[in-house]
Amino acid sequence: MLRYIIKRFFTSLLTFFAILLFTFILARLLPGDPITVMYGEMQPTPEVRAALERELGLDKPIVVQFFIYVSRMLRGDWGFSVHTRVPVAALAGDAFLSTLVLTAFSITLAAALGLLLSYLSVARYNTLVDKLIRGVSVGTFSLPVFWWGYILILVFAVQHRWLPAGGKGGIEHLILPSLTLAMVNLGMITRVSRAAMIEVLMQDHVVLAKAKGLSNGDVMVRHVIRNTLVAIVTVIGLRFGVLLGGAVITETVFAYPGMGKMIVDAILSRDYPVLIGGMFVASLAVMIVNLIVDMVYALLDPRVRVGG
Amino acid sequence: MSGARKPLLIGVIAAVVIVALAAAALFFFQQPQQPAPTPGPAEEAAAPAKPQEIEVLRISQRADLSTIDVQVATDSPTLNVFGHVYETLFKLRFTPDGTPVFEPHLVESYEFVNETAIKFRLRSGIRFHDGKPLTAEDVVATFRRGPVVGSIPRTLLGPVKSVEAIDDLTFVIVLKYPFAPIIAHLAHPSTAIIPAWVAELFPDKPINSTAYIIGTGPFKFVEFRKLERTVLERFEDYWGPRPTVKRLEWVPVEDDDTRAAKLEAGDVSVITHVPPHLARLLRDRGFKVVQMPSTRIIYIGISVDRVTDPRVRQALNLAVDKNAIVSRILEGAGTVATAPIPPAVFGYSPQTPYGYDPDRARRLLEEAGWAGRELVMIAPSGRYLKDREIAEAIQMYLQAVGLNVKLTTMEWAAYVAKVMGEVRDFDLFLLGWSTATLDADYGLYSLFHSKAPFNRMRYSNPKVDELLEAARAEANVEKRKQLYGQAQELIWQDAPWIFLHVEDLIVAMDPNLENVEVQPIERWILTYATRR
Repeated sequence: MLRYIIKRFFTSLLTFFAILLFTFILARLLPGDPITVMYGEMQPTPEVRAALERELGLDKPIVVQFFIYVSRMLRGDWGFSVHTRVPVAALAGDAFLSTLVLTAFSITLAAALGLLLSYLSVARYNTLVDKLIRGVSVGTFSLPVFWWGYILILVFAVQHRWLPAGGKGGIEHLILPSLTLAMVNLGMITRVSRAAMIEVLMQDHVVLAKAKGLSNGDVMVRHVIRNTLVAIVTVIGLRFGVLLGGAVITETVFAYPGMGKMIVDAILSRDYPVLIGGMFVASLAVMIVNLIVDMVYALLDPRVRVGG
Repeated sequence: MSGARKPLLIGVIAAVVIVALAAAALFFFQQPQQPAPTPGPAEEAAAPAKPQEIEVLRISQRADLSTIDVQVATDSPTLNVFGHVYETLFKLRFTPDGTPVFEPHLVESYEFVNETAIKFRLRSGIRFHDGKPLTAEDVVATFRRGPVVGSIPRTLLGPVKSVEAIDDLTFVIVLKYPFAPIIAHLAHPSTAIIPAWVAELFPDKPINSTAYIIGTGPFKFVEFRKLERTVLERFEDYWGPRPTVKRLEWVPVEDDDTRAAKLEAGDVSVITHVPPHLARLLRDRGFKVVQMPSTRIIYIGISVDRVTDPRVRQALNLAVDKNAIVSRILEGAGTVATAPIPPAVFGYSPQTPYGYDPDRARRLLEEAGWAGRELVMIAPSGRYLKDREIAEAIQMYLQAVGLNVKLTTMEWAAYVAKVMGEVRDFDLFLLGWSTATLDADYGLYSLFHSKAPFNRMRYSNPKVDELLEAARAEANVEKRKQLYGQAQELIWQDAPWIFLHVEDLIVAMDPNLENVEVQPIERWILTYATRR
């Protein structure tokens, strides 16, 4: 297990370097730069532009810039936003925490509901309940996320004023956006775990368990659910990772200051340090989630432990 | 076989059922609102009460602070926040009939020593938020730094040769040449006074921490949380009338529909940059909606160095139906331009409209030998109200008179780099310009003088240059007006633009809110807002 983690650590380091390099180059390939954005319709004189380029380190060759950036980053200096001068570490830290809370909330909600629904669906296999659940789960992830967002805002914030229409604040600000994100993930989790349960149900050991005379509930809990956990953890882990990178549309609809919006805004305003810092944090998060998922596999399935 | 298809069919049915259920739910949820015809969200609209101080006033603009340095800022959302923190030497006020007046604000009095020297005296007893008194040294340092770090201060203070402090409260501004609109320039938020020590700490670059956001204004800067909120708090030692709002929170909400929903839900009390269709809806629901022509004109710049024949440029103007653009695309939230500057600006002189005459346009193009020629057009997407849609409509109009228009739309950063760049491989470009000083000089000189930095058309008419130079030096108001009138006539005929429209400005607020001042230069002043 330890060797496995060490190996993972080193491949992760390489991946990080690649991500940094890639983001760095892609950002510079975009036409325009932070200074043109800063001044808009009223571009600065060449002298001011030169002074700003010097201050931001944009006057050096791009290769040099990259190595300066990496060496600073290794020392814990992530630079600051070109436009608002806020340190990137603080900016990305805040945005990441916001996103983490939102993600955790919505995934928990989606996973709990998804598991419940899929269990019901399988337990009532091919009955009206099953069909309805299947239909609903297709429906929830087929409808676009902004649709859910606007509908929830209209009903709960505008019509009834029970919850705020967006923004960041107490727990009440989290309910609508996490419900919105949960809707999309709920369907997917339900479908995947339902399919996995049915597959396991067909297997010989389950048939044997039933033949032994175990009750339906016992069969489900002891033999079916345990064996479907790997598939369920996979889909939850994947969705968790995706969400940690930010949910741009949900964040925009709810004016929620998360990672997605921060990164997209950084792209649009050519705020290179924020963009790279944001990408770094997002990829770090995805890697950690993947690592955790892998470790959970090992816990759930003895075969992975041996193979590791 | 049919078994395999079943899940799909069921899925479709279920999706339909969900949509129907949601619609039904919405319908039911909407019911409680219909029987009660209360005007909007007013909880107790019936009880008239005394105007009340406001503990926390929340306002949502479309964008967050784009910079923390007031002298660098170029966009209205940022300057509006800073307009509550910093103050200018003069203040723009509108008389009841809408005429702009520039009143002494931080200065108490001023006199012209001669044509190019003005002596000012500051009010005494004004303090910055850090407790230090405002002195003439702060003015000197502010005006020295501004033109170095910021484009707007550079334009506004361009005619200033030097600023000298005489004593603690007295200073003299010496001009390079007689410059009539100088007082208007000293009322623009980009010439607001910052402390000398901050100016000297960052002489040639933007400030690097919000700790340096220190002004003399009615509100102190408390906190900036990116994409979340910017908080200002009443400055208890403010020299002017005591603000009626204790805490101002600026909550950026980019999405138009969410911004409107936040107002409807009562999360915020004021929203700005309201799109026209939502303005109608909010008005119907009883919200106070302020709509007025702004000072921002939208135009298609024509690269005069590539499209040299004035007949062609006139033809382009005749080929576009601007009325249709305003009524259909902007849903009426604008006015067709009748001069290169908006009507609210001093010196405005209406010209004979080009009108929509595609036949004449076609004839002119043929005369000039331009029939069927190709034009390269670029436009931003998401910068101005419906910019992309407008550009597409213009492309269609120009195709209709036989031109072949290649249109590329880009996001703002890429667009600015292109349109302001050295490579000029385009003939038409969409841009906007707000004459925020309300004086023709800012709207005409900066854009149409052959040596002006923002003349991206490369337009050059020696006669226009001469008139614009004479007008900015002319002290006599009537003569100045005449000179600007002549300049506008020439510009209108030379047609370096396709003259489009002046955007409307739309702000919506809680119907119980009073004394929120909205100015056509895209300024909103909340300092003395009260609640009924």
